Amino acid sequence: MKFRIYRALARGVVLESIRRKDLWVVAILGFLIMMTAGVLGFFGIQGLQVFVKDLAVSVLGIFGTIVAVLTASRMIPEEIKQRTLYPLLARPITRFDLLVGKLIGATVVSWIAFLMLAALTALALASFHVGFEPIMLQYLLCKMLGLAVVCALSLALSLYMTPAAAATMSLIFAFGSGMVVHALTMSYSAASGPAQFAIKALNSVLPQFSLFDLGSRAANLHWAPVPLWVVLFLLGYAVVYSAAMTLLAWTKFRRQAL
Amino acid sequence: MKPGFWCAAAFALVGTLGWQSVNVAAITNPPVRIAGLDAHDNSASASLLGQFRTNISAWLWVHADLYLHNGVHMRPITDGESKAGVSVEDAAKDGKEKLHEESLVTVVPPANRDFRGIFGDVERSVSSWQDMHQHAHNEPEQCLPMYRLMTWLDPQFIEGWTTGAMVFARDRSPGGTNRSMEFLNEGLRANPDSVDLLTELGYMTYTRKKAPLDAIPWLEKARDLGFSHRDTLPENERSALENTYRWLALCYRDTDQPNEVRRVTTEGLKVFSDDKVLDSLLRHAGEKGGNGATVAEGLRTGN
Repeated sequence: MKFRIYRALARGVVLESIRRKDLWVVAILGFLIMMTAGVLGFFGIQGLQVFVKDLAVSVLGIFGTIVAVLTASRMIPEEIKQRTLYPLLARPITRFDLLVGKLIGATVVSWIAFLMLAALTALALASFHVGFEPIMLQYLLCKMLGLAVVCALSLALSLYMTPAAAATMSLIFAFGSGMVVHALTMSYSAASGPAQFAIKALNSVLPQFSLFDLGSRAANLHWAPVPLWVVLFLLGYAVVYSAAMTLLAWTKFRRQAL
Repeated sequence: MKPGFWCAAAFALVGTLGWQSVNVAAITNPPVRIAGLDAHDNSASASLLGQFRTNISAWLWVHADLYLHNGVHMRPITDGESKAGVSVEDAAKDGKEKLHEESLVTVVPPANRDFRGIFGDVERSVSSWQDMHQHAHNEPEQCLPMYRLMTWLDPQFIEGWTTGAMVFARDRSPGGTNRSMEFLNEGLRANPDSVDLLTELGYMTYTRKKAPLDAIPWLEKARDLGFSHRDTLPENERSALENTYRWLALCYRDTDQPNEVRRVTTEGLKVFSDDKVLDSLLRHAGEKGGNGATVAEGLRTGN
């Protein structure tokens, strides 16, 4: 029963994304990737294969994250603003169901966009005879898990702040949390006892987006695929963190006057 | 009038302006860089384009280093880590030119220095991480196109030219030396006043071609340029000037010109008063049969 509700809500998000031509933007970005690849081809990429692959996974990660953030951070605020939320909530669904369905929809949209970009990038690289190793499949899988976490975070933030602020904060978390974690790791040993406790606490609640990025292994040469336990851990982490963000969003949304 | 007409007219106007604006060019870094932010002060768009090129070039520089380590991110060791006894993850001695300073550690720490537990374990698994003690480098030739690209984007990026030349020079055959010198000469055409490039050319001529007499003109030009700008030289050029004096003094020593050794070392010590190598060379210049080999070894090891 719930599955049908979630499917219907998610389908609505995907259709809305198509109606708003978000995926067209992705297609245009993909076209730009092809154009850039054409420029590289003009100069010749003999010896630049690693650089081109690195550039490709970076572009995929950046654009995929941007699409995920922009899709997830504006769903609920726009439903409220356009008053389309009322007929939705008039149906026999709870507010929690609505959040879960929307989150699934945003995740699916970001996955579609990501896979479209990945296909276009693969096409561009194939035209230069640049191939990836099998670890690329793991990269795609883990990145998709990471995009689900990005969507959950953006959705939660969008209920506590304006859509623009939520999108900005989400992008800061998505691209900055890795740097913060590395800074914490560097400073931990030199920190005092209380500071070490604070560092550990901060590290545990920060979204660990960098764990989902196998880009450097995929781009560089001869790195083995990651063990299965790592992929399972990432799956578990994505589920737990997304659930925590959804609960955080629900805490606010269930009492929100509409 | 129809919109198409106005579009065509606008394109024609822009085309005419563009055709005649032969003096409009991107402004990049000056050949001899000043320390701190470079000023691109003639026009905002040229400034932006210049900075864009410089930034892309610097980005390629960072990535070239990354590819040499097969994607393993490394950083300089901190003072605190040194005091705490953290060992540097230096490169294996493979008998080739050093590609970087040997005081680096991995950005992602090993398990024994990582407080994050399983998060740390997962990051070491998903990122391109490995224990880098006595690490090997990828074949630097892989990165040569990147040095080509970065120096094409920013011909005033001296480190791009010198490091690219060093990568060529890792091939110690005459062919590798010639390719290295060709690359340096190409850089010199774009940066005729660079002390660093002139010194590198002198160094290659002296150490690889074993031709001190041919190296002297390069090094004398570098010395002349560096000494006249000694108060405004940026750090990398100043460091190159110190080497200029050392190599020049060695060239004069090897060609049996003690008076020139004294002149060069005396001038060098005016600029770099605490340079032990120059001091030693000056002392030996006054002693018949001084132990030049020891001095040269000191210079090579930087002690």
